[in-house]
Amino acid sequence: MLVSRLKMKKGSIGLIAVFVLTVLPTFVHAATDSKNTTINANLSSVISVATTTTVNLNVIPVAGGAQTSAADTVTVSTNNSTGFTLTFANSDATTTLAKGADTIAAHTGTFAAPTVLANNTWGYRVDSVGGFATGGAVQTNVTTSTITYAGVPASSSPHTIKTTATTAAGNTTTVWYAVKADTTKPNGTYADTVSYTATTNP
Amino acid sequence: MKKIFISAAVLMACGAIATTFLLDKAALAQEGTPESITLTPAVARPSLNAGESLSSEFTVINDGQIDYTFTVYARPFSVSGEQYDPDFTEVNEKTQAFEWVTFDRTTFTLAAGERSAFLIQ
Repeated sequence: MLVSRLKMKKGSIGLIAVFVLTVLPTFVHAATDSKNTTINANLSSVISVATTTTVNLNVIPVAGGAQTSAADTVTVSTNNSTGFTLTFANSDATTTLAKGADTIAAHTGTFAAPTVLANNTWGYRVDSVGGFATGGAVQTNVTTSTITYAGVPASSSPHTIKTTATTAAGNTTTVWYAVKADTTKPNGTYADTVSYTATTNP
Repeated sequence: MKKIFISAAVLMACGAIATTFLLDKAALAQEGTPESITLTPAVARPSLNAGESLSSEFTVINDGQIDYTFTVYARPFSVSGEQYDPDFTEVNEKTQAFEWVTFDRTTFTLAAGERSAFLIQ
């Protein structure tokens, strides 16, 4: 009897073991896995400067002097987060407009203290920077003007005409040029080159 | 009557040395024609230990409507004042690094819409 009871108990254990083995696999199938992918878009820092090639100042001189002015637009774009600085100067150390040996002198007014143009001089202005107030305008062959100008500085002494502190998309700066001439100057085209320098701020 | 300079400050970490590359554009003047140049990267901050060298690529894009001839050169660069007034002339122990810079080419012409890379070392 004892032997047979033992056999019965073994049989019970065997049934339980079979039951467990058949149920467990249904829980293993619930496991999952996942992977992530990082997307990096690397934007390079850029700076660009745009303008037009030539500013023409057409003057019909008179004895007392006639003055003509025109505007140039400098457009700067940069994605530099600290912005840019725009400076301006003659392209070299000679600041006169020249036609061979004939010259028109740079105006004596300064960036800090601009003045009205004298005869046979040329100058520039940028509204609301340095000593300039607002008031730049196109004028053609006027004999009197209250608009003030400064002489274009030599390349060694550029003027800062704009500073920004953030990214810029098509930031424009208007630079006005003017020349005043009387009849003592030989006719012809007097020319010089100026430089705009755009620098990303540190 | 005018030409454009565009510059990118490059700050070298070994003692905050700074230098600047300038692209000097010689325009073939066509009156009233839009001209535009772009430089990238506009800012780079390489770091060098003593005895090391570095080569980096810059790209200039002529996105205007006239052909340009560019001249690439390095100048000392520092700023002063709240307006970040740039100085491309003062040479001191921090800006003298411009003398270490060489380019694989210094003059090249790009037609309107073209771009070109150049190497600095």
